[in-house]
Amino acid sequence: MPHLRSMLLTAVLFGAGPALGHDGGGIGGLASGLLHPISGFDHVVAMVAVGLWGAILGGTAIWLLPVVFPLVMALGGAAGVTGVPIPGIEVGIALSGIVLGLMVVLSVRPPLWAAAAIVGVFAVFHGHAHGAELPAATDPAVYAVGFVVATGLLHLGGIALGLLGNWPAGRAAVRLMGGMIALAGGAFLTGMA
Amino acid sequence: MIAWLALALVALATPAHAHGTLPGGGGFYAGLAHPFLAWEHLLLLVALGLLLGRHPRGSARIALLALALALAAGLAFGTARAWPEAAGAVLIATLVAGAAIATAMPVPPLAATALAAACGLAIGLDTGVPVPQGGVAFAPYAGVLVGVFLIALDTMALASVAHRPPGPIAVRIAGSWIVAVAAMLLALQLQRLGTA
Repeated sequence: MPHLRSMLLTAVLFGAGPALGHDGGGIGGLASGLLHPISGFDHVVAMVAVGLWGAILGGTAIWLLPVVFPLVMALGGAAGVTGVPIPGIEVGIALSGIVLGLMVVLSVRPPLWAAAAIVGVFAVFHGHAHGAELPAATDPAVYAVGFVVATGLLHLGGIALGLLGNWPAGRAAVRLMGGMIALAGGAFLTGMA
Repeated sequence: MIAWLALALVALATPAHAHGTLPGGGGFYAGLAHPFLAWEHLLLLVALGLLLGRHPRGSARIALLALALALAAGLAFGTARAWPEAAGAVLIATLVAGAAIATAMPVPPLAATALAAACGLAIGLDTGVPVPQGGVAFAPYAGVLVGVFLIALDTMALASVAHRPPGPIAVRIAGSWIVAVAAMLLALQLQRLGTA
């Protein structure tokens, strides 16, 4: 528990106010970067689902998925930055919510490599969406740090929620969250949200 | 826990964002602030610190010596003329160090020393600290050296105490974040180079 508290506190500090406060509200700085994954609900549900699924899988997966995601996201991000088109970005992002939500609600436990591959495929779409905005940022380095940190914090948030699964009632709550994420993904895919 | 708090604070480095550029420029403090203000340099030094933090003291000391010597050389050559290639080298070194951290790949002492030297040279060449008129000529260079070592040593200290879970995991996650940022910035630089 002390470790969990430390991690959560660190997570809170990473989103600390002063950095935002000094950004001056400009577009493309740290605040914009931090807000980009958070302000898009389609990103939020998928990132939280990555953390939830990692917590359900347990063991190595609990940290491997949040490590794999940014590494592969960088490839999609690089494609987005350089203008390399990837078809169906929005569809891919919506599908990530559906698929990852279903993995959580059904407590699917594939081999670790398969889980990492599924997460990695969807990371490309999310990375492309973030990376496409990088060239327009006033300070690309700060903007990139912002959205990568925000993405990681969403993963950590998902893991923290997923740890509720250590209790019987919590397990039901985690699966319910997975169901809601899958539904949200469906709503994004069909244009209802 | 103090280590985690400090890691979070180092990663955020609020003063860099709050001040942008130092009024007046030049001098020891401008040099000191430079590695904190240039986020690409900060990211590289954090990555290098996390990498060297898991090395034994002996090999880490040699790597730090290489960092200092290469940084001094880079600063000396960087003043003579502009080195536009250095910005890319900073990002490539960040990518390599971040990947080694994220994958927990064992890095032999010789390779770590070579990487530290590459980091120092790239940062030195990319810094281009202006020498203040009428001021002490070496003051900004001394400032950069101190700033670089403040970041690298602090991060090394944090990484060296992160032995027990979730310390090593947090370090690997930080490495993956560093790789993601460096890869996208490198792509942006290549794209701008292509359109220039």
